[in-house]
Order: sequence, then structure tokens, then C-alpha cells
Amino acid sequence: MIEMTRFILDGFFYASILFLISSGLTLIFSVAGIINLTHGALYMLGAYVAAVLIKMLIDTPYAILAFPLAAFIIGLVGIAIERGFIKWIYEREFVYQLLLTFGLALVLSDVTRIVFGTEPIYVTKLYIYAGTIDILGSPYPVYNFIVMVVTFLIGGLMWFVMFKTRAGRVIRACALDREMSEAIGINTSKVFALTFFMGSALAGISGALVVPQSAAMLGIDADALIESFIVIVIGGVGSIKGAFIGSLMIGLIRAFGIALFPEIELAIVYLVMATVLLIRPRGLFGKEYRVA
Amino acid sequence: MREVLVTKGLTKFFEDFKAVDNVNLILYEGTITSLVGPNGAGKTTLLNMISGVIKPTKGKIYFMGKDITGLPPYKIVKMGIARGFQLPSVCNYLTTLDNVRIAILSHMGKVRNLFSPVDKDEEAYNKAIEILKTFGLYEKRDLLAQDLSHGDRKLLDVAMAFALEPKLILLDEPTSGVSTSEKGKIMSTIERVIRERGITALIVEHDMDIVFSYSDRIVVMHEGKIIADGKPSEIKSDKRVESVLLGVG
Amino acid sequence: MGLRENLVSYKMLLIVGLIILLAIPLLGSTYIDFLLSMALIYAIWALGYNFLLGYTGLLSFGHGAYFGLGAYTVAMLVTKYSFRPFLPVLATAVLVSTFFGAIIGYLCARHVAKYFALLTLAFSQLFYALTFKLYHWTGGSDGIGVKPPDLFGIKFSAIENPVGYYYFTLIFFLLSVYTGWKIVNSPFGKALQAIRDNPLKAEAIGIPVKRYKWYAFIISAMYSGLAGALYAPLFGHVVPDLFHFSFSGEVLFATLLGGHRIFFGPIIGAIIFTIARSYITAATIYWPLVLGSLLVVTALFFPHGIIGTIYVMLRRRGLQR
Repeated sequence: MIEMTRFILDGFFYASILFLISSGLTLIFSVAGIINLTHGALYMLGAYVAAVLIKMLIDTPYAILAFPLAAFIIGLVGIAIERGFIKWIYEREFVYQLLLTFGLALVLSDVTRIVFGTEPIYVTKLYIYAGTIDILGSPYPVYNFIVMVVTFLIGGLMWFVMFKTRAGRVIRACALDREMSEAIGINTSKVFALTFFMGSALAGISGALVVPQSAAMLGIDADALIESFIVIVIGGVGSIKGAFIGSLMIGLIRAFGIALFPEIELAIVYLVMATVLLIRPRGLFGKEYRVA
Repeated sequence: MREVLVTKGLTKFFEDFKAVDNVNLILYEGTITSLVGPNGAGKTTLLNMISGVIKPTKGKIYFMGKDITGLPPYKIVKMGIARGFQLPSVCNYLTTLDNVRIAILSHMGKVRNLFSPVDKDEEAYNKAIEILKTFGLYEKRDLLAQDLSHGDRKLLDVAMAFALEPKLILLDEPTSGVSTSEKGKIMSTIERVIRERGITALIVEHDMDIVFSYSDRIVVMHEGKIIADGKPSEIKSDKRVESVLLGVG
Repeated sequence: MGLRENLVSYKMLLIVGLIILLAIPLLGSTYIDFLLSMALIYAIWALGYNFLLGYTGLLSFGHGAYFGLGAYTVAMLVTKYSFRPFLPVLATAVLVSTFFGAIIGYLCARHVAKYFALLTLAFSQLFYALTFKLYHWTGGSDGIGVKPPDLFGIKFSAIENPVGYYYFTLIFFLLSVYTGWKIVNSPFGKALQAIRDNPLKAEAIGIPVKRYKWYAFIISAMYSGLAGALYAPLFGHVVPDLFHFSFSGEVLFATLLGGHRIFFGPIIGAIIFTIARSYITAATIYWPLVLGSLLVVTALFFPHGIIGTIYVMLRRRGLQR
């Protein structure tokens, strides 16, 4: 029973991280129509930037700022990528869009390696500092709860921005119909840049939040990209609700999988994805799309 | 007369929007039926359902007595229904000749063939040339489809549909985008081919002069429903139709 | 017409190319034999890859998987199970990669392009993960050293017999090109191109689009498996990185470098890529950075690739006469 609770809580933790990354990915896709393959690399970069910042500020109360700062920086990187490269290929065949973001992902990933080195960076001090709390008689890291709460807050913030502010309405309009939005005078160019900022910042903060619990290291870009993509495929592209459900599913599967079947944990995730796709090609909450 | 196509209670919802509302339509063999109505009346959606591109929300479609509701498009094509699209739908990086030829090869059941060169198939080549000549595309046969003018791409789209030797052909505004002087010529070519081969046709058209010149029957749609269905003379004198079509063609 | 003249010189180029390929070992450099063998292997891979990209219009990010499966099958059979007859081993390797290609292709090909690309990536990463997890069997991150197979009973080592191995690879290369050419010019090949240009219209003329995408995927996996299988004894070692998406990026780039819209594009691209890469990796440790940058530049400025751009220019001139 204690074990179960642990697994479930771990699942929620993973789900939180996944939800942040996936919403960023799906946001960019809904609005700009681009599947941003650099998303994983941005996540990784966010982890490294946060790790370095935390290490610098660890003995001060400002260490907390590392997280929003990392998110902000990654958001800026996202805008730079969009303005510098992606904006040129919006109208092109999507083969080139994927190729471009793929190349950018490779570059970003290698640059991260060059700048930060090949050794992982740990900041477990912060993790331990948060302490543990007694759950059913057994200690559970408070940090994990903090992440869940933060995710919840960010989710709430996103909802607020998207549905209660003018900027949000403009973004949603662009997502629905870019041409119409332009026709009524919306500067879609700015909207896209803003969207990339938000989406990238989400990737950045999720990378940052993961660091105290594990580490900033190479290779997490591919995993993050794949998993967030699986979440979106399962949940349905363009749906935040789908990202939420999908993250929950994958998070819980991961938690139980790692604990119970460590050898094939990742395989279970892929199996679930394959099953969902076989039964329902557009995901659980995706929009209907036409033949071919 | 033989019923080639029958739809019963055909309805399509896009989320809350009722695009097609309880359409009951019968197409008789060898007849040309025009489908008219203002934009947004549901004409293209109806064609999409008959050709299998979209699944109906409710209702059934019968072709030559067989239920084809919800079948994938390629199966419906194999049964004998062909279609032309509103925005010319052709294969840009294939030549005009190849566009028609691939339709013919598909119809002849030869597309599974992995090894014999397309160029050596005389039968397919001759049939393709014949069709190209009928539609006035012979001179442009070696051009890539993307290099054709809009009107020619429209013709190619239609030619490919005819290349399938269909029993029923669905055409969506076959003369749109074509210059007025050419419209008559193209429509009379299409009509001639249809009559010669005894094809049954359902043609969406906005130009009422053209519609009245060749139709055996006219079906009028408005807001997803059929509001009139009869001979041209009947439709001409129908007051409801007049008000709906005002401003069209 | 200008185009016909180009056709004649096209054939001449092919003959010259063939003569050059046949004469390579005469240069007497083992390194060059090795390099060109690798180039031909990549060419086979790119050719198969382009069935999917250039002819069916499907972008796969996970084709390293079928290459890797072919390579690992050879490694396992020859090293772990001491089963050495090369031709049966090759056949088995191709079968294995084709088998998985069929399964994964079936799952992926039903989807619209955007999903397809990432699904192929996901499956490739799955193999990557499995290769690590099942390390008792696959050697994990160390991979498997590939012992030399036997050809007709005699030991056939790429290291001891580079010229022999080169000609062996060349034979399969020519076979691949020949069958590839046949397929591409067949009704099936034209149907794939129709699907590439306009899946809606292709379906509307009676082509079962999803099924044909699947077939294209299977053929493509077959070629990739063959390439991987020839690669294993040549490189002498197989590692999980073959399944990583960055490796898949190499065949994508090689294909686009040459030009994905014409038949010989990927072949030329692969050869240039292999040669260029051997020099670049010797000069710098930043290969992913370089590769990534090259992909970016290609995406932005050279969508037709090298050969493709030349071809487009020639075609335009041919039209203007």
C-alpha cells in the first residue's frame, strides 16, 4: 500500500514534468503548425542553465529564481530560433520544416555539449534541502510535491492567459485560422514569436524542475522529445486536455514501469502508444482530420 | 429507368454545424443532373460523402443497389464512381501524360505491377493519348502538371476522372477558373463524352446558363437541404428557387 | 529538344560512373576501397530511403532502425552464434529488417505526414532503448564486434580482403540500383509519385493510398536492412547508436544533399556525404554540430539538393527552347 502510494506520487511527478513539456510542444503546433523538434534540446538546455544558476546561487535565498530565469532564457532562445530560422519556412513544404528543426536540434544539442561539457551536473543539495514529508509512515520528498504544485500553478497561469487575456484570445484566433486573423489586422508574425517564447519557456522550466531530482545531462533531449510527442499523439495534437490526460497516463506508466519492470519500462510506453494509435489514429482527444 | 445512385436521409454534421440535412437523391442511368445552390449549401460535402472522402453522420448511399456508405474512396472508385474536384487536384510533379496514364493504369488494375516499365505499356499509352486529345491537352502532354495554366489543370483533373471509365461521374464546378469564352467549349466536350459513353453525371455548377443548356434534371440545395428537384422547365418557374439563386450565375 | 540531348549525355555519365566504380581498386589504396565500400552502402541505404521520401513523400526520422537491425542480425549470427555463411546471413538480415519494417510501417503509414515522421522516430528510439536494456543479448553500449563471415566456405574478411569486399558490395549496389530503377518506373512507382504529389487525388483514382504507403515502407526497410548487413563486416563493430535519431539524420541528409526528386540524387549524395564525412570527422569532434548546420542550410537554401538543382536548371533550359 505504501509502495502503491509512492508509485502514484512518482507518477504524478513525472506527469507534471511531461505536461509542461508537452503543452509547450502542442501550443507551438496548434498556433504555428510546426512540430518543433528542437523542443527536446531546449528542455535539456533549460536543465543545464538551471543547474548552473542554482549552483551559483545555492547558498543564497535567490536560488529559487534560477527556475523562472532559466525558463525566461530558454524562451528567448526559442524566439531567436523562430525569428532567425523558422520564420523563413512557414510557407514551405513541411518536409523542410521538419528538416530544419531537426538540424537545429542537432546543433543546439551539440552546442550544449560543447558549452557545458559531457559530465552531468547535479544539484541534489536543493532536493535534500526541501526535506521529506511523511506519507503513510514513509518519507516522501517534498520537492516532488513542490513540482506538482508549480505545474498546477503554471497550468492555471496558462489557462488564465489563454482564456482571460486579450493576448490569449489573439493567440487562439491565430491557432484557429491564420489567414482570417491576418485579414482582421492581427500581426501573426508577433504572435508566432510570442508562442515560441511561451512554448520554449515551458520546455525550459520543465528541464529546470527536473534537475534537482535527477541531473542535467546529455541525452535527455531525445527522451524528452519522444515522450512529449507520445503524450501528444495519445492525447491528440492541439489539445491541452489531451496533453494533460496523456501526461498522466505516461507518468503513471513510467512510475509503475520503472519500479516493477525496469528492463522493459520504456517498451511499455511505446506499446501503449502503438495500441492507442491502432484503435484511434487521431489520439484520444484529437480533432478529426480528413482522408490522406 | 435504372437507379444508379440512391441516397437515403444523408446527413452530415461538422461539430454543431449541419452541412447536409437529410438528403434523398436518386440519379437515373445516363442522365446529367446539375446540382446548384449558393455557396455553403452543402454541395461539395454531398459529393465528398458519395465519393467516400467523408463519412456521413447519418443516412445511406447506394450505388447500383450496393451499400457504399462509409467505404474508403479507392474502393468506391473501383466500383465505378469517379470525381473531379473544385480546386483542380492533379499531381504536380508528374507530366500531364503521366497524370492521365496513372489513372488509366489504376483502372486497368495494373498499379500493383512492380517491374515492367510504364513507358512500354502501349495500351495504357494509347488510351491516355486518346483522352488527352479529347480534352485538348495533347500538345501539353510532356509538361509537368504544375506548369499548366489553371484552366488546363482543371481539365486535367476532369480528364483523369474520365480516364477511369466510370459509370457515375461527379464533377465539382468543372468550368470554374476557365475563361468565359472557353466555358462553353469545355462543357460541350464534357457533355459529349458523357452522352457517348452513357455515363451518369452529377455536376455542381454555378453558371445557370450552362446548367440549363445540358441538364436533364436540376437539383437545388440550400442550407444543406434539397429544396427543389426536377426538370429544367420546372425549376425555371419555381419561385422559391429563384429567390435562393438570385445573385448566382 | 534540349531535354533529349541531356538524356544522351545522361547515359554517358552513367557509363563513365560505372567504369570509375569498377576501376576504384586499381588505385591500390586500402583506405579508398574501404571508403568507397562504405559510400556504396550508404548509397543503397539512401536509395531505399528515397522510395519513401522522394517517391512517396514520406519523411522518416527512424530509418537507422532498419539499417541497425540488418547490422545487428549479421553481428549476432556471425559472432554470437558462429553462423558464418555470408549469403544466408545477408538474406536473414534483410528478412529481419523487412519484418520489423512491415510491422512498424503498418502502424506508421496510416497517419498523416506529421505524425508519421515522429512515429518513425519514436520506434527507432525504442530499438535504441531496447538494445541497451537487453544488454546480455545485444552487448549493450559496448555493442558487438563483427567476426568475418565466410563466402562459399572461405573466410571473407573486409580487413584482409578490401578489394574483394568492395566488389561484393558493388554487386549488391548495382543490383539495388537496377531493381530500384525498375520499381520507380513501374506503374507502382508512378502510383507512389501520385501519392506524393496528391494523396487525395491518388485515392480518387483508385489507388489504396494507405496500403501503398505501407508497401513503400517495406521496400525501403528492405534496402536499409541490406545496407546495414553489408555495413557490419565492413565496419567490424555494431553499436546502439545506429538506432539513435542522429544516425537516421545522416541518411536524410545524404538523400537531400543529392536531391530527393531524381533517381540518382540520393546515390550521388550518399557518396559525397560519406567521403566528406570521413574528412570532416578526422578534422573535428563537432560532427553533430556540422551535420546539424548542414541540414539547416540545406533546408533553407537548397531544397532540391545538388543534383536536383542542376536537374531543375537543365529542365528549365530544355523547356525554353
